[in-house]
Amino acid sequence: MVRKPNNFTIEVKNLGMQYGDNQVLKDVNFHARQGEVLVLLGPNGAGKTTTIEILEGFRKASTGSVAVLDINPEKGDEAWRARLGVVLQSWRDHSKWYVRELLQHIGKYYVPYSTESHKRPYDTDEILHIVGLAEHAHKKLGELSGGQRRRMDVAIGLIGNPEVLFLDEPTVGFDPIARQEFHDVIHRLSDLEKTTVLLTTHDLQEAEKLADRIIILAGGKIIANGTAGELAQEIEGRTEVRWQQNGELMVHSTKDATAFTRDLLRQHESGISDLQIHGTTLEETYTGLIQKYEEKKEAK
Amino acid sequence: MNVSSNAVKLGFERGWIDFKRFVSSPGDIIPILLIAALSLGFLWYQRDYQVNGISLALVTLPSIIGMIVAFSGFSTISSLLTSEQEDGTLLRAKTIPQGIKGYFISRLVFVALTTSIMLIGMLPALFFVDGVSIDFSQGVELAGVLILGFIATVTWGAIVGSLVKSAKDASALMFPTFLIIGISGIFYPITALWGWVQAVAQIFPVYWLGLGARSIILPGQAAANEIAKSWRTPEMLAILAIWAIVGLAVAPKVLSRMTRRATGSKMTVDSEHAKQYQPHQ
Repeated sequence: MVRKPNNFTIEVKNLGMQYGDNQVLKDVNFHARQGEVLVLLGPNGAGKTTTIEILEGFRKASTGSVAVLDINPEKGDEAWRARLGVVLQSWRDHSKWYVRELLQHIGKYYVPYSTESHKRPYDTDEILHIVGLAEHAHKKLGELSGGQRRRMDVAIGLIGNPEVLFLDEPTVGFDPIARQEFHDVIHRLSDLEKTTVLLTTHDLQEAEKLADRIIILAGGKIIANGTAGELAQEIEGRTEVRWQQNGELMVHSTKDATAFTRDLLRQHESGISDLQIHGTTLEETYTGLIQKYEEKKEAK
Repeated sequence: MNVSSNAVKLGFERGWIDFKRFVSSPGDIIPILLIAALSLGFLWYQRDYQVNGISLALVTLPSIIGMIVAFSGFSTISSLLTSEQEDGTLLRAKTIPQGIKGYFISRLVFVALTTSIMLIGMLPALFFVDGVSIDFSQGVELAGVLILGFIATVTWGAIVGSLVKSAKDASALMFPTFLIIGISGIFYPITALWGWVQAVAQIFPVYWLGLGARSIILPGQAAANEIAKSWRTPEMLAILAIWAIVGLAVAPKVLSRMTRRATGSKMTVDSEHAKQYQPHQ
């Protein structure tokens, strides 16, 4: 389907979610374009799953507006649902069904929604091959390992040839090879099929590898939003300068370490020793951001 | 292709596949065969006893048929819905276009097939129970009463299964279910029980299903053994119809509420409770 430029496949504005007194999401804003891979990164309880469930139409937002493929998920009908792929967290259903049998059966639900320009569903064997389950096609789901089970969930998410694919922690239980293969699948979908992908993870490396854009969520708020490069730059700016001043350890975090150090040494002609300058990695920044949020929460 | 008829077709396909797995899984099919074997044994034991010139086994056979329909309709669907809310089957259906429709149709198909299997399991009784003779029109009447009773119980099984949140609560339901069967005149004449117990039994469909099946299979004079010495056919039809109609009106609302509330994060919480009951892995 051809989309107008600047026409977002996912659009979230001022999204808020409240259960009783518990504010789970606060003023969340983001959007995604066709073919974009968006990663929601954050610790457990940050609101990632709630966000994704609102977009899937499984939960009503308390405030704000949300659109997926230009439709409010609360009002999305079955034809809208046919354009989505959904992979939720850890399931253990259909344990007595065979892998290929279940995938083919589910694929048939998408047949009436197939169009000339957008064929649905995918070929069952092609998807099994893509997710690396071809050799397990005739096993029962109950006989699969945790990682294989997860690939089956991903296969079911893909079978309808979705325009938007939601994945909640898709790679939990994957070994490194399976993870790499999964990353290839996601790249292929976004590059060749122009599928918009929104996935959650708490694995920073995964986010860096997959994402066109990373959104860091903590305590129901977006605390960072940008490409991996932009986040890294923002972090690079935050350099830490440490030194001993009259026997006391001093620490200062700054965007321009060179200027700060020049000033520091000009002001104190003596008494400064053990000067160290540390650049921060993306991981440190992420951890730092989360810690800062946790501390704020405890202070309340 | 029509979207809705596609979902109906897939519901039948799913129900049939689930049924094939059920029949070929020893843990599932053996309890069913056991119930059939126990019922047949009970009939065998009764075959030489007579009440008012009618074989006691002949009186019990239609009662057991009624019980099977009521029990299977109610229990199978309620335990399915409870466990499939927990294991993600329902939620999976929700992520698929028309998936919920296909899911509910498949459950009906599955329960109808498993109930039929239990009824087929009773066929050997025809070889040793004296006096079973029904003509075509009686056969149609019997099928009609059983289908009405099936709707009356399967809808309520679905309602209870949607409301019950865990496998543990579902197994707690077994006791009252058996209690109701116990007082419904299946294995023991209801007229021999206290009046208030009779009154309680007559609230539920099990008694009326058994009565309805007896009224069709037994000769007319056997009505003398029943409450009010009558088959009470109008009452039987009316009470089963009330259960069926109210069930049909309420079930879709409860089911759609259950479906709406099913979400991944809720399921993660529920499955914490469920882990100890998990049959596989």
